[in-house]
Amino acid sequence: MSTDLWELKEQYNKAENTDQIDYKMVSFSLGGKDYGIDIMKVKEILKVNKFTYVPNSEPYVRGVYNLRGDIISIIDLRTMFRVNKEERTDDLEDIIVLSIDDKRIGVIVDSISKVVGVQASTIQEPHPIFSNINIKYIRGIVDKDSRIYIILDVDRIFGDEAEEESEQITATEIAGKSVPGMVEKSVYRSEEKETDINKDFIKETLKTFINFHITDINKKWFQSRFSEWVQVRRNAGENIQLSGAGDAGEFISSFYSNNTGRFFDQKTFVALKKIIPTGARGNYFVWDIGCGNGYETYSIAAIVKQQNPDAAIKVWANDKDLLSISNAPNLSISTGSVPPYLNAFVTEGTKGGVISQELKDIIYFEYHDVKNHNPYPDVDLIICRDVLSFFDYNEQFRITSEFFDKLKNNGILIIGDNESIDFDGFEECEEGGIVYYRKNEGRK
Amino acid sequence: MRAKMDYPNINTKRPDGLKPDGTSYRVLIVDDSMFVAKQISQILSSEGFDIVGTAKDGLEGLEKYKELHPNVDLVTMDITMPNMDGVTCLQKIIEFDPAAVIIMISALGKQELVKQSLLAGAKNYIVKPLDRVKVLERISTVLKSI
Amino acid sequence: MRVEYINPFVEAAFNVLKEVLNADIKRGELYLKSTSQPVLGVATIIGLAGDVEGRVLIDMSHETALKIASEMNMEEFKVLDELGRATITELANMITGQAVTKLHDLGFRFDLTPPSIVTGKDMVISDSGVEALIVPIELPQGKIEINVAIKEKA
Repeated sequence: MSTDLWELKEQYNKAENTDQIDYKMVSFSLGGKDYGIDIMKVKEILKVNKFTYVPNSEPYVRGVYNLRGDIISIIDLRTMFRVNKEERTDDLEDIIVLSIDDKRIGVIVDSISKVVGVQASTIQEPHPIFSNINIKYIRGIVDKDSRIYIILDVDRIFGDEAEEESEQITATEIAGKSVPGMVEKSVYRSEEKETDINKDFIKETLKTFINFHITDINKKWFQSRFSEWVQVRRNAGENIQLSGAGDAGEFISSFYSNNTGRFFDQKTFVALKKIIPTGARGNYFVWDIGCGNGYETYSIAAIVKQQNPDAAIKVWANDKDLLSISNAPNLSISTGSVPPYLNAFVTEGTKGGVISQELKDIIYFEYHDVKNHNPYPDVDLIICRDVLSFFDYNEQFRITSEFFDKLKNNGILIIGDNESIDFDGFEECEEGGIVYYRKNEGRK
Repeated sequence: MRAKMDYPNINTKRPDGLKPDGTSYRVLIVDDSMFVAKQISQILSSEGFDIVGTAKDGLEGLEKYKELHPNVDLVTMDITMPNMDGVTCLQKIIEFDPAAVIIMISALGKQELVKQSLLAGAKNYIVKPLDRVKVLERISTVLKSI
Repeated sequence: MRVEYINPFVEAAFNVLKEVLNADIKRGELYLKSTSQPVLGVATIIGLAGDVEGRVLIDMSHETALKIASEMNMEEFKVLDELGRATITELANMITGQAVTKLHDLGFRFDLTPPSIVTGKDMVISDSGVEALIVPIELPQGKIEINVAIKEKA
């Protein structure tokens, strides 16, 4: 293995197809995991066996080293990050010399590997799951050639910012004086920052465990839910952070819209009656996304049918959960659960109630993922409750645009109770407690 | 002790493919699938039938029938074929020879066409996948009834 | 794809394969694919018409096609020749035929068009961008995918 940074770069250039590579890093192993540091921060790499020990310094400061006249501090990253050191057969240490804010610092790692090139766009947000070092020190995670590299943010670890509350390690201080160094815990002590970090962690966990994304669409709900959550957990003496899918599910339990998993109640019916047009005579098309086992679909179909008895109504209902939607066409109803407005469309079967054929005939339940291309014509009404929040920001935007294009002018979009959009051309309206969006082509 | 097979068996079954006089029934196979044609051919030959011709579509089937007539005792006719489908070919053969014995070979999903064929004069039909026992049974039933 | 269409295809595939290959069949989990390009190497396509528009595609690797043809013909195939292709085509016909019959019993009118088989080098399927239902099936001869893309006629 080369101790020469130039040589590592040469090896990289020979081996790598450099199309689309716009981020290079020096990779190394530490505590059994692969890490990387931006090559722009790396001055050189060394193999060294002698440091001048500095008394009264932090345990992770191994000492100082004379690099051609320049005295540099040597920091042992293994000690700093509290991981086990790998056994070595020689008495040398692998050192990466970093150049940060005009200072030079040497960091000891288990073993320097090679230069790795990636596309910067493939670097992902860090997550506590990938490393046991503080997430503040991680710029991101990237995978390349089946390895996952944790990219360290060395500016954060060693840069000026990090030393707000500590003194710089200078050559003069080394002589016998205590070097306070850096503390491993986050130096952002103010409560606000801590709350932000907690929020970020929770957002990450929601994304990782249940694919729920906090974006503009639901941030209002999130802010209030977060405060509530913190209160509850603190009172119970429990950790705020979400430990798994179960916790995550509990966190978003207050997100789901009214009438989830059951027919729309009479109150909702009354409000929707004022929103959905009446007396249509031609086609009236409805697109229901995320219909689950069909309660929402039958409710909407019933209301539309009642309001527009002479129209040619078609309701396309999708879900990508095969199990729920397979049951939708044959939904069995317990007679107690039928709200008054739906009675006209429920018939008594041999084993309880069933939806009348009249209503079933106008509904098409389809196993479909809204991310994929759909063959539907332009529609008058789109219902998409509590679905957009399970897509990332880009998909949310793309799908909302698709909804805009799919709606006829003056068409209506209804999304989750705790979701809201701000999209040019969609006018936000409200009726009886229900927020809905009307497509207004004139405003676009 | 003498075993069953040591005794002369007076009930030896005569192969389905042989007529009472000992000669073989002559069969024309009309099917656009090489695989199905091969299957039918194998099943029938093994029972003594004589495959006198194969055709890949209705047009060829009609031609071959006219050529070979009256030396064809049975036709197996696939329903879906290019150029001329099984039902049309059936009709044309019967026009040419009202005594023609034709059995339709059908894939599931073509019930309507099977009905049409029977009305047009097909003697019976067999549904794919082809089962040796079923095929021989149907064909024997038809041949006995002539 | 309409949920009512799903079971007929799943059952037909299972039944036909079990009968024709007389072996242990395992069905994998169904999923949706956003482009319906076949991927495994040998694809047999049967068009659907009638109440709907679409096609069924039976996708498998070249090796699996050889093994299946070998099993169905009781002779070894080293190359997928005309007989081999006819065999695979017939298999697709049987599966789709049975599915369509079941759908017919449910009240849906589907028509089938004659099958075509395409292999690796000349794969040009122009309906990419259409969502397809994938039914993966594990056979002793390898994996095959039943790939169904259907949309209602407007």
